[in-house]
Amino acid sequence: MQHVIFGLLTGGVLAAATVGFALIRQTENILHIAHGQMLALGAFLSVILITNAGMNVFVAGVVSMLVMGVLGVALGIVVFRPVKDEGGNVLLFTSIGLAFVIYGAIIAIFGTVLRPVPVGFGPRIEFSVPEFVLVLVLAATLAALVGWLLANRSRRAEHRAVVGRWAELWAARGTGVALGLATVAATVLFVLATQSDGFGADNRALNIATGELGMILLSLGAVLSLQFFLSLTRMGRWLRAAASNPALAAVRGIPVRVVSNVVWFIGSALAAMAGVMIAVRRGGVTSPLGWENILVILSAAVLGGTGSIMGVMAAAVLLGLAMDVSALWIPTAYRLVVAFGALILVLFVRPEGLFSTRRRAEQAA
Amino acid sequence: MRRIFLSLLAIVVLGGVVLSCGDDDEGPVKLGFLAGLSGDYSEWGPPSQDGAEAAIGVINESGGILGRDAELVVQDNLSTPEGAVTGYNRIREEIHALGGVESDGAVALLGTVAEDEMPTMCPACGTTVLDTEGGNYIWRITASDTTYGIISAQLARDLGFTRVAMLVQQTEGTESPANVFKDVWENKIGGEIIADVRFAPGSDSYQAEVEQAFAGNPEAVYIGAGPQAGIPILREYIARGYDAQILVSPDLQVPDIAEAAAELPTGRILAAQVTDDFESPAYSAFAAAHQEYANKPPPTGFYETNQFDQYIILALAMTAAESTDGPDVAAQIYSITNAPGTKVYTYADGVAALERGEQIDYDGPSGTIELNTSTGNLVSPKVAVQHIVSGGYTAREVIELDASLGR
Repeated sequence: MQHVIFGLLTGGVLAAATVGFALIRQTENILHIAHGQMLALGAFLSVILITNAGMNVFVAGVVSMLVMGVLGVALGIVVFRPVKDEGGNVLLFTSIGLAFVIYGAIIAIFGTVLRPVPVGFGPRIEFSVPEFVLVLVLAATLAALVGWLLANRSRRAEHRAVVGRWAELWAARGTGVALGLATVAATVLFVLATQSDGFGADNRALNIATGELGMILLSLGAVLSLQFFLSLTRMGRWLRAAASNPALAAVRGIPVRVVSNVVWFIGSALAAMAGVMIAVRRGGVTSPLGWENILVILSAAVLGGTGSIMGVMAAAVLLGLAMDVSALWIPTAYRLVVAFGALILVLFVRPEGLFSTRRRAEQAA
Repeated sequence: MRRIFLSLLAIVVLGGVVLSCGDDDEGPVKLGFLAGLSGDYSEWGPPSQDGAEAAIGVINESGGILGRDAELVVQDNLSTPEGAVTGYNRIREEIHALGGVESDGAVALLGTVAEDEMPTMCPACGTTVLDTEGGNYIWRITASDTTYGIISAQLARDLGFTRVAMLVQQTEGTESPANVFKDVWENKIGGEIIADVRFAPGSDSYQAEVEQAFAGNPEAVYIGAGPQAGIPILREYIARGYDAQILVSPDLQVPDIAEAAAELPTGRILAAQVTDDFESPAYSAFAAAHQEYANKPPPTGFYETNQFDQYIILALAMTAAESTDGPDVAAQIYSITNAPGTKVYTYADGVAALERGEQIDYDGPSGTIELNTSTGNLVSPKVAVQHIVSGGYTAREVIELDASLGR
């Protein structure tokens, strides 16, 4: 059961990195391979601020996010905007080239030796298996309620009379399905926990460090904040409009260039946030950090599909769980094989991704 | 007009080709340094290069090699076998000999350097492949992973343990001593391996792996990993309050690991590492050279003395051979390193003795460098047990290998 906690932490950090990648992918139509290097650059920047400037890790993280956000905007304007209309291949290879440039800059500026991160995780919180599963179920239910509210906001008045109808949760765009799956999974885990020794039927204490719990909550908060932003703000609606049809959005007076800048800022800032968390989790950073993470980020984004930020988050968490829980039965050296094997299987059944809204949109059209 | 232009272009190109194939007997003698300046071995990169540069400085200060300046050609191998192959291909045409090679590179280039007749030194590779495959164009002047694996098992036995777990990174340099440890522990000592957890490097966390390794409450855990994985593993070990004895592989004997483990009691983490011959006159000369050419005193534990010795040996072999050709140099290696011969401790003394027509026996700051003439390995490496004291590794007692545990 402890492995489930490991998986949630892995998935939570991955979610922060993947959501930024997915946002750029959906809005700018770029497979932003350099996103991994932005993650790495954000990590290095935060490490320098912590070790050389003596900053608190949270302050260093915020500064890193702001700096990387601004850098992302600059790169979006200078590097990608001139070639935006040249097609997917040009954008892809531009991003790959940019990735190598940033990688080279990281080596030139920070060197190649490992840089330790002297940040601890804080005291550990211990709890039993049933307590843990109960928390999961409550969290999933709460998130489902929030998701239902967000997904159905425009029809809230209409549905006020049927608030008690839980079937509406499953009909909500992506969110309900994703969080419904989480509820089912949590319920299954609860049953197994009370039945199987492998999941600690003896109520063996589980534990998580406060810092690790903070990372999970930070990732969840960032993703939920982004979902709120996209659903409830004017800029968010502009962003979704520009993602679905940039030309029409421009015709209708939406400032697409401003929207693009916002996307690059948010995506790059989220990459930096993930980089800081990875740096703290690893206890050190090295130059290949970006390359080591981009493949998993890409896979989580593909697994999540297009159109649903919450779906991408759910996919990242599922991938994290797959990689860590599978260690109970399969040697950990094959954790990536497990993750990518699951991805391939899912794509066989649902090529657009687990939580894509593209098929529903096409069917509606 | 076009025909004239093309003809002129052909002449220029051919002329460039001819000129570029200049007389190899002129110009500096180029010695390759192919090592992990980035990646898992990057902690060793700069201090290793300092040792190498000190050797080049000493060689040139003493008149160079056969009257020509020595020049170090540095190439990063990215700490990977693929990087070693790519890096070697970039420099193979210009160098006369190769040094700095690590385990991954040694295995990857084993056949290639023999085909190229490229004298190659391994100052820091422990791979067990070289236990039997070296000696022709590749020589190792540090202890084998076989030695490290046996010594680690011997340490665990002598500390009274019977139940051990293993946590091993799946790379050549880390699995090599780990597999020896496991073989000796189970088959020679009769101990029990209660968990053997292998993992791929490059992960953001190893919590699941640590959980698996320590789940059975082992008395000791052998950890074979690079620093990138070693730090999060140690942090998890400390955070969860485990108290099993830790035996680490050579790759974890770096300052960052020692700092990460500073809060642990002295002796909780033990390591076996070749130790330098600090009493030797060669070490004094090396320390002075390191201070002069690297502008700092030499560290310890980074194979810096081995890096230094490899180029002194290669340079002396070239001097003895009166040639920089691979086969001629290779034929002189054992005559430089092995008894009998006049004991020499510096490059200058070695050159002087060779010019007098004497056979020499070079002993360097890394110790007595007697090589097995069949395998090219050190006959008797000097190994010491290392403890972490005040956030740094400190060599304690020299340990004699139990011959009954040999493979």
